[in-house]
Amino acid sequence: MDVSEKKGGGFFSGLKKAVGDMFYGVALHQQVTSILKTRMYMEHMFILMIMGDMLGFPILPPYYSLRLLPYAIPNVKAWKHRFYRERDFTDVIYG
Amino acid sequence: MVFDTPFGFTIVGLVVFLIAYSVYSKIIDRKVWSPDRSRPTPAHVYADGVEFFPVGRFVLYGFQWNSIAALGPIIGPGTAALAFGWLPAFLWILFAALLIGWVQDYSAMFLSVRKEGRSFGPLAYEMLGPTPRKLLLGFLLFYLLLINAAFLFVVATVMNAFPGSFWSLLVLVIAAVITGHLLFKVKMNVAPVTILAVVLQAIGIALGSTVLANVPPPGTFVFTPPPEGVAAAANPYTYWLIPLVAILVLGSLLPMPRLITPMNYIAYYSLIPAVILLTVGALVSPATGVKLQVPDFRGWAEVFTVGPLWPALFVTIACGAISGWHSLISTGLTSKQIDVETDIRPVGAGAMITENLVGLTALAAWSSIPLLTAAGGASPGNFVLGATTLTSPLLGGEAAAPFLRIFFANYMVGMAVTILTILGRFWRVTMAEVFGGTPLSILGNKLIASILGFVLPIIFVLTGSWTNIWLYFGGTNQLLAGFALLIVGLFLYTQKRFHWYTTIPGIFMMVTTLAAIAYQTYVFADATVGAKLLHPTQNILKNAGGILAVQGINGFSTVVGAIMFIIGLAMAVYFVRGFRRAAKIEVKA
Repeated sequence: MDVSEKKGGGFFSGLKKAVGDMFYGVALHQQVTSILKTRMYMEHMFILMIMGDMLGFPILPPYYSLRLLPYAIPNVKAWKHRFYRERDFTDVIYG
Repeated sequence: MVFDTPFGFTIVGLVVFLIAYSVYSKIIDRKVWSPDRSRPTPAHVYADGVEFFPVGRFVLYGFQWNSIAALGPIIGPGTAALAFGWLPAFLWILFAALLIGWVQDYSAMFLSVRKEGRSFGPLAYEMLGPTPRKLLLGFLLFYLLLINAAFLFVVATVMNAFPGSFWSLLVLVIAAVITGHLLFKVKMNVAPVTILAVVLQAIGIALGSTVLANVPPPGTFVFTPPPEGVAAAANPYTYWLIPLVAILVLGSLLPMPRLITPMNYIAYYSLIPAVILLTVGALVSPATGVKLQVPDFRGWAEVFTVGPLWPALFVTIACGAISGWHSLISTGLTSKQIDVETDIRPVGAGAMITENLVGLTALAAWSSIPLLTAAGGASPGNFVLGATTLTSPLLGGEAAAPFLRIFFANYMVGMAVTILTILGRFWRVTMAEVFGGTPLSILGNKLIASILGFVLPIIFVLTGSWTNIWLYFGGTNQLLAGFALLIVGLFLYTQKRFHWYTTIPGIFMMVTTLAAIAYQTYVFADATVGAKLLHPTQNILKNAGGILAVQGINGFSTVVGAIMFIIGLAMAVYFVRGFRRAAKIEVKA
């Protein structure tokens, strides 16, 4: 395959990706971010439930806390970003 | 002669759009903002996987366009063409596309990216202080009411002229619920669900254009006033708005993936073909023989109840030229997902210029029929007739007309309803912010706020004149755009960088929109004091509740206009103070 062919293939595959991305952006990106936000709010509640144990106060019975903690720990860092960020009303146009 | 067809201004418009994007926006991008690919954006610095995360530019371009496109660019050009002729409408779209529209969307997005992804409220707080942020909050409440009113009015009118569009909307809602369930509960693959959704929508349009096209018969619930003293049995406001408001309240209360996001998803499968069809229709109009049916210039002063050319023209065409809503999207959503700074121009400026194209194609459709004498009179539904005239020669002529009519009516209704449900949610959040923790906290309640968000706009709808409502909406929308332009200008001024490219359009928009709001307030006040009907359609209200009811409605609109004007003026004072304060700041090299 010569260079021009490679360039042509690159151009068309790039164009295909660009069009695909644009359609995804028009059609689905809003849905995806909206679902992520819904999950975020549920995670806030979940982490608040087990926060007592993370801080050393046994609020839930320890058995359940220990079962839940492995799911919570990997999310703690991102959760802190989300939970502590102050949100203005102009941040929640789409919920 | 090609210039007596929509081809002439469409091709000139396309060339100007190209220059705006590839020359002017590029110069501003390089000289003023100097994007740096290596500078971390908020999407990377604050990555949380939900609000802040890097997204490719084509995806964001599609998302930005999806979020800013609504009914504004479709209705505005028609109203302006009706009032002043197609030439002033075209020149304003052109002027805005070159110098103002993209400037706002792009610059607000860039400012937000440079300011850690902050949205409009915090930016106003930082640049101007706490009081302007509170003023902005109050302003947004009225702004949302007015958008809801303008869009509800248009949808009711279109449904009244084309009853089939109500049935196609109903099928769209059902298709959205099914799509949402299949995608998010059953977790089916996107491709078959999309095919199902598109097929369902096609069935809805087919039903609306055939067996249900005349259920109820078009014009049963007419805007045309009944004779003086004769009570109307029913009118389009109450008849069409009741099911419509029920759908909208449901949409604003249900979780987003249940109705709103799938409905947006499906509706955009009509947006893209509609814009392509209209563009092609306009470009081949010399071959299809579609001529311009609207005069190029009607006059400088009021012809069709909107007021003098300045300021009315500049608020009549809002979203197709410039819109404050876009700055809320640019700063509140998109800026948080920009991957690299060099993506801001294609996303912010690119999406806005595409929106200008939507406005231009709408003007082509409106100009294809004689607006004042076409069936339905001077109605927003005339867009549907114009679009059908422009595009039917491409698809088989008269045979395709019934289908195209419902397709374009569905396009209008879909664009309005999808944004209305989002506005309903935004209104609810703003009400909670305003009234939360106050003795009136009940107004921030989820259900009460949702109902109020759509019932209060009906008061505006009852004024009976869509041109007046449209101008109020356009005025507040453009005023918000003025705020955004001046916030960016103020920021650049504090940085001692070239700010005039945004400050001059900002001042122009502020002065023009304040004048437009003042004029409309005067119109409503004059009608209130003089016990006059603003429009013949107010006869419906007069027959139902007497002249006092008309005065009450017009008085309400006067008060709202006066409040908007005072808020706008107060913001202007804060901007002057902000620039004066910034003049004293020394920036270290």
